[in-house]
Amino acid sequence: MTLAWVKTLVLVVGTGICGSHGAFAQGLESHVVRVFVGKREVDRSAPWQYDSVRQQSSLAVMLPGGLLLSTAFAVADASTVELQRFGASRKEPADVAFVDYEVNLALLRPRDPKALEGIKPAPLGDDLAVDDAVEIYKARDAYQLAKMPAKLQEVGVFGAVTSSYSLVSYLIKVQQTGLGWSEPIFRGGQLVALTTGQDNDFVHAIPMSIVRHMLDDKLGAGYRGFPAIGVSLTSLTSPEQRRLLKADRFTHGVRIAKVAPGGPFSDKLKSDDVLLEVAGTRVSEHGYYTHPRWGMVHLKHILNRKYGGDSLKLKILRDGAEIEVEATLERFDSNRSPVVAYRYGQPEPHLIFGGLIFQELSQDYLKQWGKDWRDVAPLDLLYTLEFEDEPSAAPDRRFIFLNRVLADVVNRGYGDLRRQVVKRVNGRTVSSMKDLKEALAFPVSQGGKPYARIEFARDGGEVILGYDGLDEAHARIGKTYSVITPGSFFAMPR
Amino acid sequence: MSQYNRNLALFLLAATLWVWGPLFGDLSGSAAAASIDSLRAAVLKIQVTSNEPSFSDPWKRRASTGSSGTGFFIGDGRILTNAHVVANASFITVLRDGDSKPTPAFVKFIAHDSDLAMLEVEDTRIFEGVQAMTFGSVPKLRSPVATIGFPTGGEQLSITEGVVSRISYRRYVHDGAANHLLVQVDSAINPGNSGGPVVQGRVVVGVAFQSFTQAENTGYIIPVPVVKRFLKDVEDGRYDGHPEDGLTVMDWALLNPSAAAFHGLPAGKDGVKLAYVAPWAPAAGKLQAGDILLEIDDRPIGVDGKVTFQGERVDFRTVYDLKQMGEEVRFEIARDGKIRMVSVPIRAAAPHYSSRLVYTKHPRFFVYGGLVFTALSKSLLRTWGDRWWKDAPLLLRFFDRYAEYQPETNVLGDIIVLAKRLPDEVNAYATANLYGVVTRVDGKPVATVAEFAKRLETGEGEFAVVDFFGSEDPLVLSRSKVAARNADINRQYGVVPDRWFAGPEEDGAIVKEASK
Repeated sequence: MTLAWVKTLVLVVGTGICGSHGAFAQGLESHVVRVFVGKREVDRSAPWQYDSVRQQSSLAVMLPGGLLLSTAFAVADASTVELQRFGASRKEPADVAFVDYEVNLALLRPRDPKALEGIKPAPLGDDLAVDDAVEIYKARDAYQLAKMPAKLQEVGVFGAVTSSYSLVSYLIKVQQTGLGWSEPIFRGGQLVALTTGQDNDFVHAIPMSIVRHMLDDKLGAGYRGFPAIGVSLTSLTSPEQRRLLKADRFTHGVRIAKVAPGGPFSDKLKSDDVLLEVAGTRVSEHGYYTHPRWGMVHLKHILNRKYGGDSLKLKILRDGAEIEVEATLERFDSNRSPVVAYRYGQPEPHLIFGGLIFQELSQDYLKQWGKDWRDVAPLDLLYTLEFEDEPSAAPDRRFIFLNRVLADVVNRGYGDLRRQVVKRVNGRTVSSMKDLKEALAFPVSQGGKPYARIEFARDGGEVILGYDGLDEAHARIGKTYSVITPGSFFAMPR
Repeated sequence: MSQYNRNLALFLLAATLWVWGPLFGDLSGSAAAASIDSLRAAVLKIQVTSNEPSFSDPWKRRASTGSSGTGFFIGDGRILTNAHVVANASFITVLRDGDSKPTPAFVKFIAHDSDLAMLEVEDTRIFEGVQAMTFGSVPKLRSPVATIGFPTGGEQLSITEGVVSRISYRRYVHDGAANHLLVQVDSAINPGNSGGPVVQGRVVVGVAFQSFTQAENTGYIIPVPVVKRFLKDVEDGRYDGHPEDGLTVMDWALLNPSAAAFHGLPAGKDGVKLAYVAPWAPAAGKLQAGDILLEIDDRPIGVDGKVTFQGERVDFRTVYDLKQMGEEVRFEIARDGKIRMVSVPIRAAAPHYSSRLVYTKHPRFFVYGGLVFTALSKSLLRTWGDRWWKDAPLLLRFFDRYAEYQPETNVLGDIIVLAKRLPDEVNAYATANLYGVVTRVDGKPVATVAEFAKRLETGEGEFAVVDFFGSEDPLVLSRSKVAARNADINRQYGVVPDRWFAGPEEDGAIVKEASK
């Protein structure tokens, strides 16, 4: 996730120094176009409206078949996408034809099929080996690409920029700054990777095998996507722990710390199993395996090569006995965890009840606290993210919280409430926006009148609000605070 | 956020010797400090050498520092001052204005919660012919007061005049968590003034103790009701402390008309709504979340949570807070639309975590196989510096603030933290849970550092398995290996003692030594 922040820094620096380094490219302008994106993000503190539009530019490469390859990050939250050929004056409107935020890849399609005539598909290469020399191309100006020679330093598994999926990434050492905007990387005239971000001297890039994995899939309904193993691992280096788990006769094998409920192996593995092999490949005490080209790589990369629907065999050690287990994998979904990982381009679910704004807790909300958000965002919400955001067997599970209160006579006395996680409403447990709506539809009755009783977690207490005059209050609040979106306000179902 | 800023900005006024404050003019001719000359003999400069515990290396004590404050004679050979003036003291002397020879003194009683301490001297002849100072009441708003003391910047007694600007129930920073009644005055209270009397005419109306760094000329004094409560508390030879209520209330909730109607509040009745009653609270089982507190000891509580107390509007908890152990407090409450009376016996709360600064000789700790386990406290969090509220580990900050509010983190005892690893072969792989919170040893929960130590040392199995909160990676140690290495590790790192389980009663201040 730190990468996402690196990105924003890069944007500020990048515009001024385009083309300040590197030799002129030769002819690759016929494969690559510039991408201009108007980005519009939801205002997390007033989720019925949007922040003002920001312009960002990046690159995309023509693929066989007429679609252009870009990163999902470059086009996330796009309200407009335009493509421009090097040397051309016109910008051509385009659409995002396909996007997989989990692996940070997107495919773009010009609206006019003839708009990019003369742009030819780039030949696709293979995965690199460590120390391979490559060329990174970035826009020098509106006419030409600049070529920057570089070298693959290392291959690692990281959280993808746009999701919490564990994805293999190249680390390519560079001298330049301002990279990471979908710049194509070539070797021997073939496309071998696409940059996703920069972290000091290193550019992160997606290997070609990940791109091919997506291109070989069914783009649209039936997309199988990238699966995950659904367990968390801890190193098994301590001799005491190895003896305790009866793994001391092996020098390899990593400890399974937790098995995600609802994951592929939820009923087959348990905590303190020792994972010895994944798909026939032996894994180390830290969970790594030996990749023929890349050296030691985390076993999660094995999952990057699989598809949702594939089966996976594991060999484990349980209580001293070696056991084989097999399960069918599913496409990984970051948003299966209760704290929403991303919601690019989607409206922010919210509900206003008597001026109280309820939302789903999301990482985007917490990121409002700036670069240090993991330290300075509200303590109880950070705790919720760090310690309660466990993948759930119920994929729709969310944390609903009261963001703040739009002050009105109806909510007098509650105006200072903010950022409280909701526990129950009208006696019903609330763990989704749907739950909240349903619970609010069943008022508690006191003295013959309907009331909402909203209970908060920890020391938040409870709020009591009457339903009488609620519609009038909502009309008033909508007018005062310019909330005009339909569905923002709670309405009693008829 | 603002809560933290405020806490940081309030600071205590014991002067470290290298701090220089402004000089004070002599205002003894003014109304508030009338006939001050007859009082000055009762005001003493207190000089202290102190020796604070280390919270990062809990077996150590930090290098001695010198500081000074003020105290005043209250009769029977007793001197009143602030707890923070004499906390962790290893040597104390008192000096009368105009005298040349300091007299050794010792702490008789110390109240860290209300920042008060009573000293006695070896040689009571210094009080011969000195008239003890007497106490008045809570000063009225806008009335003038004079602060007498020895602020840094000079040797002589100094008198500063100010006006009472506010009376409220607020944080006492020496304790770090407790709130009590305090009085704000609009005169600067400077380092060295701490513990000095604040007078109106000839009577003491408060004890100077803390100031607010973000506003000029804002000082705080401990008002007479809090001082008198302390003096009464120690009459039986023991300081029991202010009672903790363990009540969390929602101020203003009953300003809402539908809330008032829902709770069946009778016309003309105000009150506050209880959000949470701590399981350790004396009121647990008698009051419950959702109750509306209407009156406390026959004083009506407003929707703002305030009562009229000595002519001023202050938080209703002031009434509870000033009680002695063994007394009772009566609440009129509304529950399920019915009005009822609830009596709560005032007693010490059951063991629980509270976010306090610690003034024991050592924090509670235990070193096992070079792993340093210590009890969480605000003092431990402060080792992360002034920005501890951001820089300290999230889980520790969370436990400090919220642990009592959720069943899965509720701790009736110590919050045991793995605070340090003193590297050795025996703990070479114990790197995963630094700053983790211990939940279980060998599968069983542990409540205190003492119990934790006992479980590790006397456990049956060859392996000690320690689980940590929210961690999927337990610590596994070989008991025989630790036993073989422990003495060497402690010798190598100078860990003496290797454990400290005592509670607050084992205070760092010199109580018994000096009285021998």
